[in-house]
Amino acid sequence: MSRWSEADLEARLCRTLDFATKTLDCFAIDGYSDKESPVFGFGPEKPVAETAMLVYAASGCGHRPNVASRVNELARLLVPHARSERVLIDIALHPSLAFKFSVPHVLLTRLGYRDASFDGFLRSCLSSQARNGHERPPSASLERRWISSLWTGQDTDTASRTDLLNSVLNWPVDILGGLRDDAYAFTHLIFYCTDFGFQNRRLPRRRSIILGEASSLLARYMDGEDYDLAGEILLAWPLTGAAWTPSAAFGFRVLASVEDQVGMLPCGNINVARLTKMEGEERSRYALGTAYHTAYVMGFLCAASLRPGRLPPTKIAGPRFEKSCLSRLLRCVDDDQGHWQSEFSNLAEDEQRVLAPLVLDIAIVQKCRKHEYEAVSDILSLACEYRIASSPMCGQAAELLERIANCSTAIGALRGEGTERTMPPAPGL
Amino acid sequence: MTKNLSHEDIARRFVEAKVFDFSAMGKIITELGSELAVNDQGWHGVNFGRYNILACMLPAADVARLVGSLRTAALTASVLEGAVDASLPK
Repeated sequence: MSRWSEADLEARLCRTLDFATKTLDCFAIDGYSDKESPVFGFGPEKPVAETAMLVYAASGCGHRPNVASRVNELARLLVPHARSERVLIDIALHPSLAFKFSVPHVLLTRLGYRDASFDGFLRSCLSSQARNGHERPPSASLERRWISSLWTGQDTDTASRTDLLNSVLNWPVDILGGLRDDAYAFTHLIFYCTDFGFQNRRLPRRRSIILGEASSLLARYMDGEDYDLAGEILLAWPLTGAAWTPSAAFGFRVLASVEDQVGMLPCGNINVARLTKMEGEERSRYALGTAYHTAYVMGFLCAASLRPGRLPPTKIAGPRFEKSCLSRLLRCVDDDQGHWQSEFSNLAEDEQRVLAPLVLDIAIVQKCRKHEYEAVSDILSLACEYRIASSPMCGQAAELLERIANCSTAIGALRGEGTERTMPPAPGL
Repeated sequence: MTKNLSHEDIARRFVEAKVFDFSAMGKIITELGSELAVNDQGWHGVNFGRYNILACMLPAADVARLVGSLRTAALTASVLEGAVDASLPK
């Protein structure tokens, strides 16, 4: 099977690493403050930590001279920010967040940029009685254990296992109703669990089941033009060492095409009207502050895909579904939504037919987004007719419709109306 | 997934049992549900510098979060390339 060009992936990764240099230059000291939309502001810790993670992930391709030189240059630029006075004070004041503030230091240490003095200070803070005095969800707890194990070299498998068993990698993630945070938790758990592809840790459920959910999540976020999350979701395949499925291979192709057309992988957070009105440095900082994270995601994806045996295929190959099935599904899809559509149109008919399950998931997510549940019901009927209703999206959509029907009964009871439908007993938790 | 049932089983069970008109409920949910969707701010409302749970995430701009026209999106890239005078494509 023909594979994606390594040279192309390397060029994309190098472009992201160059972009990271600009990001550090702009935000590593003071972060970014957005007075109009404060939610988009961030402290310097965020880009410094994310750049350190990008550099760490890219170091897996360190045998490539173009990547290695950029990794070393970025690491050198990161050192003063990773161990700044501000970071030291933050750790002293908040020992329960010590590992959070130490992410860049620990990753730089792994890359050979050591600092025994910082290590000694960190050790002293971690002996504080308040060191565990912060409540964390499983994904954040796993992140802490990941950084801790990289720093100490000690295995945290048993404790990490507990985190994984309590996480959305062990429980089906809410594909249709979940918040973006849930999807981010899903993707980040995979980052930390696999140590960005450097380790092969056992997943809490079968890899194929987790990737099935990743496929359905990909349909939701790719169709929503949320390339930040779509890119993070796509990382699940190369980071777990799984073969690229047709949906994942197509998703990669869409992101690469969008990146080629725009010049970088775009996010949906930029207010173009506002950007147009701005001038000079304010304009550049706004553009960079809102865009850098999504651009990094493409770098992470290319770095992971450059690992041995993980190149995405150039062709969409797999079982071909019936032509009439695809044609009927496409009639259920809004034709003005999602940049995936132009890429899909460019595929050969054989490749399009392979992607019928992805089109099915997208059709469901589009109708659910608009609360057109009758249409969702019709799509599920169609999927059952062609025996392709096997995705987590289909299962969860059917359960959603059942809940809505039961909700109607409950609302009727609330309003004193007669019940038309008997609700099934709640399943055990 | 419900225990012992595949996604296909769940979908088939629903399709075979369907006796419900979803249109009315869809309208009610459209009226009431939009508030929840807009409030999808969760953890990412507080960023890393203020002790966020996860370091690496992008806050949601709005419920749609669409990139929209790629030609328009390219404006950001042109700004970052130093083409400050770049104008929106017609």
